[in-house]
Amino acid sequence: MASITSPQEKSLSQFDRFWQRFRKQRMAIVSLIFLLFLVFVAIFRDQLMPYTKDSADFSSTYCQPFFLSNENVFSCQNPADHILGTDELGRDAYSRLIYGARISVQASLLGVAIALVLGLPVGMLAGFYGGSFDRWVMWVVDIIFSLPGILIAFGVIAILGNGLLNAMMAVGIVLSTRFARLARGVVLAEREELYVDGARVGGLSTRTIVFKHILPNIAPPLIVQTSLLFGAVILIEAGLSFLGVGVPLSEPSWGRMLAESRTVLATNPFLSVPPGLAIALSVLAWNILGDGLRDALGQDITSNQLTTVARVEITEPTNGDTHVNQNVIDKASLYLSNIEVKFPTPRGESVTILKDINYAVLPGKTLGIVGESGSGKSMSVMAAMGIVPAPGQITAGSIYLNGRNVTNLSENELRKLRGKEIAMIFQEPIASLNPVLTVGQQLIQPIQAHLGLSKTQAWAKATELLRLVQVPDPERRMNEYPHQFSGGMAQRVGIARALSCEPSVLIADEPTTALDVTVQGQVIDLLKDLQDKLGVAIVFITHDLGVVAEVADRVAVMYAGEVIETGDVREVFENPKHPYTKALLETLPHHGRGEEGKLPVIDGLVPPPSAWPTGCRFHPRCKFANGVCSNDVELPMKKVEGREHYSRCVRISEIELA
Amino acid sequence: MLRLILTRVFTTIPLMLVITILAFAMVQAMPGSIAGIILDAGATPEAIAELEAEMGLDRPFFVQYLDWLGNAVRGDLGDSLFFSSPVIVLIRESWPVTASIVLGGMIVGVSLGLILGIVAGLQPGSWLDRSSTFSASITVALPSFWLAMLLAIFLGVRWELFPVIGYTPFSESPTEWLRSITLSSLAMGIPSAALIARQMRSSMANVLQSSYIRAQRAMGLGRWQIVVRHALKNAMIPVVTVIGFRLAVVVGQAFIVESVFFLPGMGKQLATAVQQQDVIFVQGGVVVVAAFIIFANMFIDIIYGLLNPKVRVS
Repeated sequence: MASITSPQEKSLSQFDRFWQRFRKQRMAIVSLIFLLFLVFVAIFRDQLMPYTKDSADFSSTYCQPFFLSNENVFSCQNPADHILGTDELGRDAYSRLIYGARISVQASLLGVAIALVLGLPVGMLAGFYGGSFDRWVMWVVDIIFSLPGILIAFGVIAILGNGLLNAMMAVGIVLSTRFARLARGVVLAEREELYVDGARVGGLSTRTIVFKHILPNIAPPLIVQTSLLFGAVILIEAGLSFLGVGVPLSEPSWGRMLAESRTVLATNPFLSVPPGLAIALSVLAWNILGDGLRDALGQDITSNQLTTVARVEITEPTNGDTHVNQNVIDKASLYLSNIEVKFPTPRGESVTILKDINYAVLPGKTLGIVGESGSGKSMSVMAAMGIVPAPGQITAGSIYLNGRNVTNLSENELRKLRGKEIAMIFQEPIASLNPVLTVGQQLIQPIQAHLGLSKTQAWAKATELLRLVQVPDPERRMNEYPHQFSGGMAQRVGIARALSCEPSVLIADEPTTALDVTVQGQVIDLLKDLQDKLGVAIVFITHDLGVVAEVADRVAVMYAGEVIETGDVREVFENPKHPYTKALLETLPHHGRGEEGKLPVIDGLVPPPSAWPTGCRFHPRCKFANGVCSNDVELPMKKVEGREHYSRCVRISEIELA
Repeated sequence: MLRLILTRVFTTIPLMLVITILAFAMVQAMPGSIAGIILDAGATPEAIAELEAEMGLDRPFFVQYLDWLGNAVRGDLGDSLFFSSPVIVLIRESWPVTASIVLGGMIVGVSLGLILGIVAGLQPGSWLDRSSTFSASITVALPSFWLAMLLAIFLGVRWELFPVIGYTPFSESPTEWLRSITLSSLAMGIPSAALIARQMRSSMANVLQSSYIRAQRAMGLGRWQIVVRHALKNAMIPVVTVIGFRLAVVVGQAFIVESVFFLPGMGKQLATAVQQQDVIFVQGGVVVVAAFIIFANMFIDIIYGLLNPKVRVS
């Protein structure tokens, strides 16, 4: 949520961005170098081995490397001859380790290649054609996938006979199921995507679809999975060889070396260290490389809804300009004064997301907040509730809840207010309910926590709440799970939850956006109805100006982290004093159509916080802009003469908007 | 819920049929024939054909399969070619050993993995998370049989805490049984714990980013209440699947690890049978182990259904 992409990062190609993120991961780079080194050792094996794998030196059997020498162990006659010691026949452990490196590299390349060749086409075909073909193929793939790989390898080797190629054939078959499942999942998801359907309709060949649409999407997870699979192959090969069913017994693969060292574990424990370490390090390197690739290709999960940032004392900015009437402030249920929110960037700087946010809402009244996506509407109410997602935080301003300054309350004190005095309903009603608990189970928790009711009392109250929000058959619905509710019904549950502890302020964050039009109307009517009954103050966030006109008493229009116009809703809509508000109003269907019968749109997008222009933040998209608008000065809100109506437009007196 | 259990029990039947067909076809697909293996390399084609006719190997595939399946259902998996003893008798001796260390390994892996994963997932990016992720990525790369050897060197040979050779049946002495499977259980459990911890961590971290967690926070629920009553159950759902897959891996590891401690389990038998091309024993072993995995997965699916109402309530 609210991750900040700098403009430089945005302009990079996909590969450059991947590389920028990948090269920061030192461990992954080290792993890559180690693996390249292994390949080098495998290629130049014969030049690197001081002895052959079988050259026995009976004069120094079981000799220990020099760094282990003490009176209890035999050290080699000339320690420099055998830096890792020798085995029971006096064969050089170091030479045999190098010999094993080539077997390991060969085996892993072979195993992964076989797995790719077998698994990828099967999975892609199953995903691409779907239907019963997909069901049958994946059924068999899943059966094989669910069995121990080594068991299937046993079966294959029993038929084909021992040997590296046969063993790797077995491993390839086992691991191909992973590729098949991965490929099928990605292809299926892509197939569902509208653009592939669109591409098909457009008469593109299957080949084009596969190479242009599916491969680019399958590549990132495939690269990660391949890297992890190399590790898996190395482990299985070592295991098979350890049991004597992999490479021929005479070949010193790392697994064989471990098996041979087992018999002398008590007397010569060191013999097991080099081959074991070699296996572990190669698997580790592949895993770290895979993780590094995943992080470079994927998303970040280092913060969550419970992450809190160390709190700092928040003060009112000295240059703040309050454009809220003092009478309103005195009576307001919720009043935000000069709120500023900042997010740190990965580079250690910070970006201001919200600045100079002032608004208030009176008991029983509704404040509408409108603006495009990215304008900071939702962030402003999260600030009001003290749940700005980490690592962001409020850096200036004050929040008053029913006249009490709550800005510097501790997390625990704030927690007692949330739900009790200020509550929220969300944009996606079903996603905001816990999928594994019944509606009743989750409705009663806040009631018990805030009102101290018993479980039975809370259950009865929650049932009544469902009745209040007009959920039919509430007794039965209490025992149902969120996925059994339609979007509209789930939003009623969300409303019931928000109102369950009788808050004085209700924040509605685009509560109707995800619902279809007829349901939208019902939910809005319900909210208005409940407001009349309960006298709750509502902050209603939406990008739909029609809805604001219907529900709100006052409106605040936001753009790029600022309120740019605010006032009585009818006054603002009939007589907008900011070109942005005017432009938003023109996009409404009933406001007449453009020359070609199309709805007018505002060209361009809200810029990201790191790219906000100087002066008026709207000026690059404004058709009234001139040189004044881009001057690097703070633009205060200006009062419209004689009215409770403010605008941030610097040219307000010069331009004619009506 | 009952319906879920019944469907799940019912679906194991076709699964078992496919496994048995594959296992049976495996023997048929072998170059040469069983008669060729039984008789020596020097046997004349006539002698082989005669033995084949005697064993009924010249009948059509499905006739032979049904014949074999009928016997298998009654517990007769044929006679081992190499061990010269009925397959089921051999497996009945060795399977309890393998099952013991599989159980031990899973208990170590699941309990340790879940605890570490939850703790790390609650605070992704913290030192605790980073150190547990770091140690997890190291242990997950350790070959279990090498870890077993290291444990044998230190806990067995050097400090003499546990035996490094042999197996004591539970019926003989429960405490000695526990001691005899401890090192193998640790050797398989530690890498499993690392893997489960990684899954649990990312699952927990993902759940904590979801909107219903934000909604609970906005309702003023306490941190621990949110974690315990809302996040944990959701986070467990994908991890249960991983635990199911892990079981198969642990069984595979057990086959190898048991030979580090010279436990008389199925791994050693199977490996010997593979080396000797004793396809009858391998076939029986595959069927028995696959049946175990399929039934274990059935239980895991039922647990999954208990956690996830979307599966349970249609």
